[in-house]
Amino acid sequence: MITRLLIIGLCAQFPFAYARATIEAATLVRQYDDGDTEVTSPSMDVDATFNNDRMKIGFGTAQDIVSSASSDVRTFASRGQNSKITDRRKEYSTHFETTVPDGTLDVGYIQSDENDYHSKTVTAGGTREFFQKNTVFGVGFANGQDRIQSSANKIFDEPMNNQVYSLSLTQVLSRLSVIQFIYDFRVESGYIASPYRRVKLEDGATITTKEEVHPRTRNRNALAVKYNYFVQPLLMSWATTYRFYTDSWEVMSHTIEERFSREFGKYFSAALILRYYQQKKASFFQDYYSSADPGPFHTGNKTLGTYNSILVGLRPQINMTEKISLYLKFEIYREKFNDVVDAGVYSTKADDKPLTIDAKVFGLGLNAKF
Amino acid sequence: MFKMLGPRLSLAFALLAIGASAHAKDMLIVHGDSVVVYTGPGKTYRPLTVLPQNTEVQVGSQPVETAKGSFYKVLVKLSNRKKSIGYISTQDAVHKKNESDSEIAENMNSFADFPLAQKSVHVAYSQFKSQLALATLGYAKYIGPGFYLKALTGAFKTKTATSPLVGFEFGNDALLYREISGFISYSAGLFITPKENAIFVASKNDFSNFIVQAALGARYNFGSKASFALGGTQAALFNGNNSLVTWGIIAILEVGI
Repeated sequence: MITRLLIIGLCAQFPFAYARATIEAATLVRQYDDGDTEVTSPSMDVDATFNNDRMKIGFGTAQDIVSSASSDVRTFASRGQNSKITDRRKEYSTHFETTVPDGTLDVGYIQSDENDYHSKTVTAGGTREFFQKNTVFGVGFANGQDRIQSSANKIFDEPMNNQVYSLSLTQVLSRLSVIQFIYDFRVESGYIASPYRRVKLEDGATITTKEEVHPRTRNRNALAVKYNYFVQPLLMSWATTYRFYTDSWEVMSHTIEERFSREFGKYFSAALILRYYQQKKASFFQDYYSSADPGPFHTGNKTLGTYNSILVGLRPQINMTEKISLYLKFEIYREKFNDVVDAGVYSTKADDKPLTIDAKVFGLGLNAKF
Repeated sequence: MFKMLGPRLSLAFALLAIGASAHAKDMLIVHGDSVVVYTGPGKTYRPLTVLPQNTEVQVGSQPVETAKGSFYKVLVKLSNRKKSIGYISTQDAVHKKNESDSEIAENMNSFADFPLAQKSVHVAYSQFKSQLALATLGYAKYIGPGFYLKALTGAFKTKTATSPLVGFEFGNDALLYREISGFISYSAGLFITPKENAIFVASKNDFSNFIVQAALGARYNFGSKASFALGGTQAALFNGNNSLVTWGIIAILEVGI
């Protein structure tokens, strides 16, 4: 209601344009469950175009409601194998975009809060069209100011600042195909760790733990190529994506994704998504460190280890009317770690076992235009 | 005889006095969705304004021929009190028509060309949150409408030291409303830190430092051959294995050459 009032208030500045305004609303509820961790994520986004569709303003809200008894929680939390944590993250966002000759300009703001993590991010960007709009060059940047706290230590309060610089180039190759190159550079500076994660130290048969210590700077580079092709005889679009990632901690990863989308008549469409991800560990990552010399940096973050993952997803959509569509989302996800174990009780290695995460994701979404 | 010529001479002098000519007035009519008017006879010049469909503007009798194409020289109304010369590609969705002789055309030569050309000099000053300032002098060349590449040199100023810098920038400037345009820019450069702790605590005396910076803001095109821009900016400075990320404001004075 407030969002709609805000939009109407803004559009009132352009009284002749309001009659032509279009409002689009999208809601999604997503449920992740890997047996140990459940995350419920409802979200809603509302966009309105005005001033003869030259300008767009949007508002969004999202939440993550987490309940977890993951291997880390069970191994290191005070209640041992019966431990379970709960948390809630709330996110609010707004953005404004205007068309300019041969392109667009946009600004945005995102705020995210948990009881122990607060984040504010300002975004800006623009696109520029060349050669009869067949080539589109895009730039974007973001500035984030995060504060990390700890529910276990009330005086713990550390900043983490981050910036993103993005470049993209989209080229129409033919009537049926388009290619896009995207480069993202992200720099993080400050406390880039978790006050909760513990590092396992071994000295013979004795296992102890300590807090993790990470470098205070991380430079992350990602280069992606996307190729979309419409196969006319099958009335199907193929979207192929390859993404290469490397950073100053020497984490390196490759992602390949294929998305097949097809319309089945006027009312029904579906998309099938296949994704494979492979990652090489950070230079200082070890599952167990020597207690005599753990080195200057040591981590308890298993996602800095070597692992791969596979995702298979299906997204059927029903167009209920010309303006309202309903879609479902089913995803199966498997993450297999090469050099991380589920440590069980951390003081002994006897119950260590290979760590694999199998998750199911279910989503229900509704899109509407007014 | 002078008595008979008197009124006609008076009319002729009056027309000269108001800078108008008595020849027929040629008009250009926009029949596409919209047409961009450029500040110079080329699409690499900065856009001056955008004319919506069915707009009529006075046009020069002959197109201006350049190596990059043929352009109509037009007189566009920027506000109730301001008109300016602009250029529209002859390839755009426009057509020319000849008004009746009774129309009195304004003398287009009495209006100066609108400012910023294909090349310009930028003087930029950024004041960052971390008591860090950056001043640069740059040479920009427009390679597309409002899209430029710039070579720059300058220096960081901190409490304890000044660090010289060289770099490059690219940016896009697009018309928002009358003389106000929006800009977005990216820059990168190398800089030297003359002593330890010059940029941030524990920064080293080093020759291999680099910076990336981005900015977004609004530019006011004023007077002739100049503009002034104000915006927000962010920068990341890399020294050894460490970095400083910061943000602030940026002011840019641009002079067309």
